[in-house]
Parts: sequence; C-alpha cells; structure tokens
Amino acid sequence: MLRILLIPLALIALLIGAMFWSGGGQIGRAEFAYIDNGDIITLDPNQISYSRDFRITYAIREGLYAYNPSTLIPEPADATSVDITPDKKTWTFHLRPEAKWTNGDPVRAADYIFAWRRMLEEPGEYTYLFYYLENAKAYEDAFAAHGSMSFDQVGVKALDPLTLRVTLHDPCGFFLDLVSFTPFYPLNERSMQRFAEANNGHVSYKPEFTKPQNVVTNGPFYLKRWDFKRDLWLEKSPSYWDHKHVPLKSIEMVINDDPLSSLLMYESGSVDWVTDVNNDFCAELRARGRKDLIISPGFGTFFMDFNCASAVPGLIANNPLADVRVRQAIDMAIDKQQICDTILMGLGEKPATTFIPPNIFHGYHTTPGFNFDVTRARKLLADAGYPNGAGFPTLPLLFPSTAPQTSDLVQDIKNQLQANLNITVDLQSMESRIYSTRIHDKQFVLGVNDWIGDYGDPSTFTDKYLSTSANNPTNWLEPQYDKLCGEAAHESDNAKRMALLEQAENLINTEVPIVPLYFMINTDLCRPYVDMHFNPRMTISFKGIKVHKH
Amino acid sequence: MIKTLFFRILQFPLILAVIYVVTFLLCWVAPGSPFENPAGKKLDPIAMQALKERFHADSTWKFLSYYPTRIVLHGDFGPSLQQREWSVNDILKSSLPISVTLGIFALTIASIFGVAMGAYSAVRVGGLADWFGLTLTLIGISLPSFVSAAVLLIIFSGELKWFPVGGWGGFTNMVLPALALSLAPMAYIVRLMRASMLDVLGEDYVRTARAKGLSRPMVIIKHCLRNAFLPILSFLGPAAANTLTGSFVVEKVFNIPGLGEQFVNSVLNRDQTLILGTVIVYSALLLFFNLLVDVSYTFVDPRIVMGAKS
Repeated sequence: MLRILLIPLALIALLIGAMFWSGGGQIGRAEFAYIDNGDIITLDPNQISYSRDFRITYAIREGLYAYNPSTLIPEPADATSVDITPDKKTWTFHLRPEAKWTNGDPVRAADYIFAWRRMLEEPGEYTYLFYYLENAKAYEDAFAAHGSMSFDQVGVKALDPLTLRVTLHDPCGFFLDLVSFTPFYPLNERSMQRFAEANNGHVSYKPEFTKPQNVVTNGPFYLKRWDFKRDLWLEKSPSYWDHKHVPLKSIEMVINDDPLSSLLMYESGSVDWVTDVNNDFCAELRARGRKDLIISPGFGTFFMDFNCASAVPGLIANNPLADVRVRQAIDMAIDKQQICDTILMGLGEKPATTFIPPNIFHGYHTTPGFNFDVTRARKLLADAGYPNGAGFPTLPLLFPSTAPQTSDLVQDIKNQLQANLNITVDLQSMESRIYSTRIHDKQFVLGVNDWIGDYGDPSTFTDKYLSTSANNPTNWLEPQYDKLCGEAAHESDNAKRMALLEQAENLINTEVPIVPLYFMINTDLCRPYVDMHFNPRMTISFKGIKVHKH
Repeated sequence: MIKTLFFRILQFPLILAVIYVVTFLLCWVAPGSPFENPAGKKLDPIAMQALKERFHADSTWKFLSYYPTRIVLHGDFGPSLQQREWSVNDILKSSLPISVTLGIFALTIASIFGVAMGAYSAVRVGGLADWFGLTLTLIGISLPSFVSAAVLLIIFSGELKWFPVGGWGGFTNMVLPALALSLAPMAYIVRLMRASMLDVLGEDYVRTARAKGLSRPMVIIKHCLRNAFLPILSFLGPAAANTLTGSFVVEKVFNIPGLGEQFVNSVLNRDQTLILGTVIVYSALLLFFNLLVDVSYTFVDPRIVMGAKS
C-alpha cells in the first residue's frame, strides 16, 4: 500500500522542489507597460534590425539629433547645433557639454568616432547608411581585407572633444535624419573594453556588453533588468542631461508574442499599450466601437515581386515576365480594393498603385501608376502573345507560411488572375527563412514582400531597386533608374532632388518590376490616459510619454 | 541492480554523442541561415562574413570542431546565434526549470486524477462515473492543446478572472497551463487504468481474497490497484517525455518562458547552437526518465528484477 502511495507523494515532492528551482515570484508593474511582438533580438546598435529593438534603443540611448515624436523632424539632442556648408557636404556638430553616460563619463566626440568606426569594422545591416561619409565604404572593404587604409581618411573627425566634423561625398540633405537613427548613436568605449576579443586579426565585442549589468548608455532611461523571455525593465536615468523633462519613472516591456494572450493582458490591465494588433482582433474591436484601438497609416508597402529575368534556372525557361506588357497586364488585372476590403477586412489599408506610400515625405509627390482595368490588361496580354492566356506558362508564386493572412492574400491573387487573365499561378508556401533565402538568391518567379522605410527621405525606398542593390531581387536592371537616383544623390537643391526621385519611382510604377498591392497600416491598442504620439514610422519617443493619473 | 544501473548510466554519454552528431548534420543540411533577418534587408557580404567569424560558423569544420570541444571541456553550448546576447546555457538555465516544473505539475495532476478516475470507472463500470470518465477521455484525446489551453485561458482568466492571463511567477500562473497540459496524458491514464483494473478485477486471486473474507474496498485498494498500476508506470516514462517536449503550444498560449518554445523557435530560426543545446538536454531528460521508470518497476512489483537474466 505504502509503495503505491509513494509515487504520488514523490511526484508532489518533486513538484515543490521544481517550483523553487524555477523561481520567479510576482513582480510589480511599471508606470508604463507595453507588449511589442516578441522578445528583443539584440540591443547591439550595430546589429539591430527589428522595430522593437529600435524602440528600446531610442529609450536608453541618444544620438546627435532626435526625431520629434509627432512631426518626426530631427531636433537637437546630444548636439546643441550644427553648421552646414552650402554644398551640404560638411556638417559640424556641437556637442552638449553636460551630456553624460550612465557611468559618469561625459559624452564626447570620440564616442561617436568609436561607434562609427566600429560600424565599419564590425558591419551590420545598416552599415550602408554610412556610405554617405567620405571613404567609408573604401575603409570597410580595406579593413575586411586586412588592408592598410587608415581610419583618418574616413570623413569624420573630432575637432575638439565637443566638436564633431563629418564630411560627406554627396550632398545629403537628410543627414540629420540619419544621425537621429540608432546606428549613428555613440558608444562608451571604456565600458566595452572588457568585452573585446580578437577574431581573425579583428577586434569584435562580445554581445554581452548590452546586458543590464554591463551596458553604459546616455539616454533618458537605463536598462535595469532583462529577463529572458519575460520582460525588460527601464528606469528613468538620473544622469541624463534633460532628466527634468522625462515624466515617466519606469517602463516595462512585457515579452509576449501570442496575439490572444497579449490582447487578454491588455484587457486585464496588465499593460497599457500593445503594438501590431492582428487584423482579426482589430476587426472585432472596431465592431465593438472601441475608442482605444488606434489605426494609423504606416510607412511601408506590401507588394508582389516579379522576377524579370528572361529565364530562371530550374524554375522557368522562357519567363513571360521579362516582357513589360505581361507585368503591366498582371498589375492591372488585380483588384486591390477588393483585397483591402475582404482579405484585410477593410481596416484602413489603402490599395496601392505606387511603390512609395503617398504623403509620407514632405515635398514628394508621385504620379499614380496603373488602376484596375481588366479590358486593358487582357489587351496587353494578347499583345504580348498570350491572347486570353493561351500558351501562358504556370507561374510559381512563393509565399512565407508564417502569416495566415498572406496565404489568404495569395489565394485571392491566384483566383483573380485566373478569372481576369485566364493564367494559372501555382502557390508554394514555405518557412520564412527558406522563403527569404529564395527571394534573396533570385530563385523565384513571383513572390510577396513588404518594404518599410527607415528614414525620412524617399531614397529609403528608391535605393532598393537600384541595379546594384542587394535588396533588389527582381532582376529589373534599369540604367535610366540608376541614373535618376544617382543624379538625385548629387543634387543639393531639395526640390530638384525630389523631382528626380519622383521620376525614378515613376519608372517602377510603369515598368512594374513589382505590383504594389496595398499601403500598410499601424494598429495599436493604447489606453486613453497614456499621452503618447504615434507616427507612421512608429519611432516612439519614450522620453515624452506621460501617464495621467487614473 | 546497482551494476545494471551503473552500466546504463555509462551508456548515456555515448548515446548523447550520437544524437549530437545526427542533429548537427540535420541542421547543417537544412536550408536557411541563422544570420539573416527574414523580414529585414539582405546583409552585406562583408557583414555576413564578420558575423559568421564571430560565431565560429564561417566553415563547417570550424563550427563542428569548436562547439563540441567547448561542450565537453567547459559544459558550454556557446552563444545563441539568433538571440546573441544570450548564451545557450543562459537560455537553458532560465527556461528548463520552468518547463520541468510545468511538466511535473501536469504529470502529477494527470496521474493522481487519472488513476483515481480510471479505477473508479472500472469498479462502477457502466455507471455515471464511468460515463464521466469516458467523456473526459474523449475530450482529452481529441481536443488539441491549443484549443483546450485557449478555452481555459478565455474562461478562467479572461471572463472569470480567477487566474492571471499569462506569464510565469506564482503558483496561480501555473494552474491553468498545467491543467491544459495534463488533459491528454490524463485521458490516456484513465483509459489505461480502467482497462487494466477490469482485467485485474476478474483475476482468480481477487475472488480468493474476497472469499477469504476481505471487504471489497480492501481488496480493491490492497490487491487490485497495485497490480493494475503497472501499465500506468510504463506509460509514465514516455508521458513525461511527451509532456516536457510537447509543452510548446501551452507555453505559447500562456506566454510562459519555457524550453518548449525555445525548442520550436530555435528550429524555425536555424539557431543551430540552441537546437543542439535543447536536443541534448531533452535527450538527457528522456534517458533519465526511462531509467527512472525501470527502477520504479522493481519498486512497485518486487517480482521484476532489473538486469536479471530470464
């Protein structure tokens, strides 16, 4: 008898032991708590690429300039002012003498040089933004090849501890926008030294330097705690120069990547803000007339990529998409309004006929591309040699399996093309990593993707389709497009520059290497007592957030 | 017995090494790279090379020689290739205890209630309790855990607000996920227990025990339960394994930072070091549980001798 009882008793004893072992214990709630998709991937400014990582970085670090949370216009932050030469090639920043790191060190020009140099020596996804600096690309290449080029040749110098002079090889009217972006933020070299390690003759820094006990930052908040897959806790930084204008005392980023549980946490009052609420929940909440659901225009476009090569080895021998008329026909045969109304549930995504979302850049206007026009589409297809789709090969359309909405969307595209042009599309779903490799390697015929801009200039979109760009998978290599973008880069007059980029974008919209499908939106749930600004880019400035007593 | 135990334990490193090599080969041939953000921009070749060098992944040979040596010499699985601030050891240290606690909790619920309900169903066969047990079994086996977990979450956290919505911390955080996780093994145990109890109840020695004057409850508790329990015991080993490795869905729904989610995500992210780390830990757990079950056989039924030659 006793022996049988021993088993449940042992299980219970084991359970109690395990409970102590797994630890935890309830923790209090920060003044402001939010859920931002999943866990942080990295907080190393060199390697950041996910929006949630950028948001935390905006809270704990500060650059020369910072975006105004509502207008997104760069305003002085760590720098007090800048002198710009008329050719917009030399920028002299004057640093704020009272700015300090959390370890007490003053923030100096050398900290910027250290960070920017590291960006070239230990490059990451956004290193390409540094190519505007004189000789930066040459230095990056030489360094990787163990060459002998000196960093002194790169266009950044400390004239004195509080003056930073940057020399660009092209006039870059939006350079203030770039220095407000986290890859351009300074780093505290002294605190990072103990994480340096030699690697193939190069120095790199162990990723642990960004852990709470190690990291030294200069922003309005500091990282107090980072529990794996649980939460990040930020506290107001007493050493921040402008701490008087930081109303929040603490911020908690709760890590939760499950949409249902995120929503329930918001509903139960555990968090004040949830980003990227999925469309199903949005539709439901909107039907209930919820005022705290905020749907706003985003900073990106969802589109279908064409592979314009005349043949894609292993996939298609005579690619009909090499013919611009076929591409235009497909563009015109897709009813994008219907996609927005049905698949996307009419939440606010707008049907797209241009690559760049309208009205997101000041002084920039594009001519709209093609509208939905089945008659014209059929005629174009017939002109290209496929009357009523006769003889048109079946085209594989790849899509990532992660989002259920994407599979509905491609199914709808397939049906529309079948009905309107009598051409067949073969849907192929795959895991997102395999998908992105296939797209990057140009091993596709049709694919769906989105593009979200990074900074406040149309080139953040137009650069993607340069024939030299690694992010242009379409094989659409248009010398005229490269020429227009190149001229825009050399142009110091902003109005002329915008006109050149408009012409360039217009080439995308008429030559159709991509079919723009819809302009993306931001969906947020945010309590009415939280005073925060949403903007298309969703660069949230935690510094300005106020939580009113409730 | 001690000798058998010793040899069984001695085999562990060998089995684990084989598992390591096989897993390594599988994740090396799988397409996709852990160093790219599928939603982001294509990494510059120089940046990609620098990143690979930093994680000793610039050549297969380097990767295969660097990490196993570290594991054997330092017990260090290296950094995670996806969440680069965290070493695989950090991740295991923080998430393994959570999954184990959750698994044991679920298994405790499943075995205590499962055995009781199964035995009672068998004794009162055809009665209300039997019918109830059967219904529960049907639900437990046919309802996938993402449904049962979401239903529990919506009813008890969303509507009734008896338990917190998710996360890990106090005892209240564990109740719902453990319940959701226990349904499937509980259902199985009820069926198993009911069947084996019915068999035992028809045995000659049970009739003999009744005939010699023992009361029915006494016979059931003292003679039947113990013998009917043996199949459950052999089920507990695989059940422990399933509960531990199958907690992914429940962990996701309840937002629990456990190992199940790491296991699945590491594969999706091609985070090779983390895949290897979790696979090795899970394998070690499985080996351990199987050994534990074998040992406890001899404990419940003294007729079984470990390592005895028949």
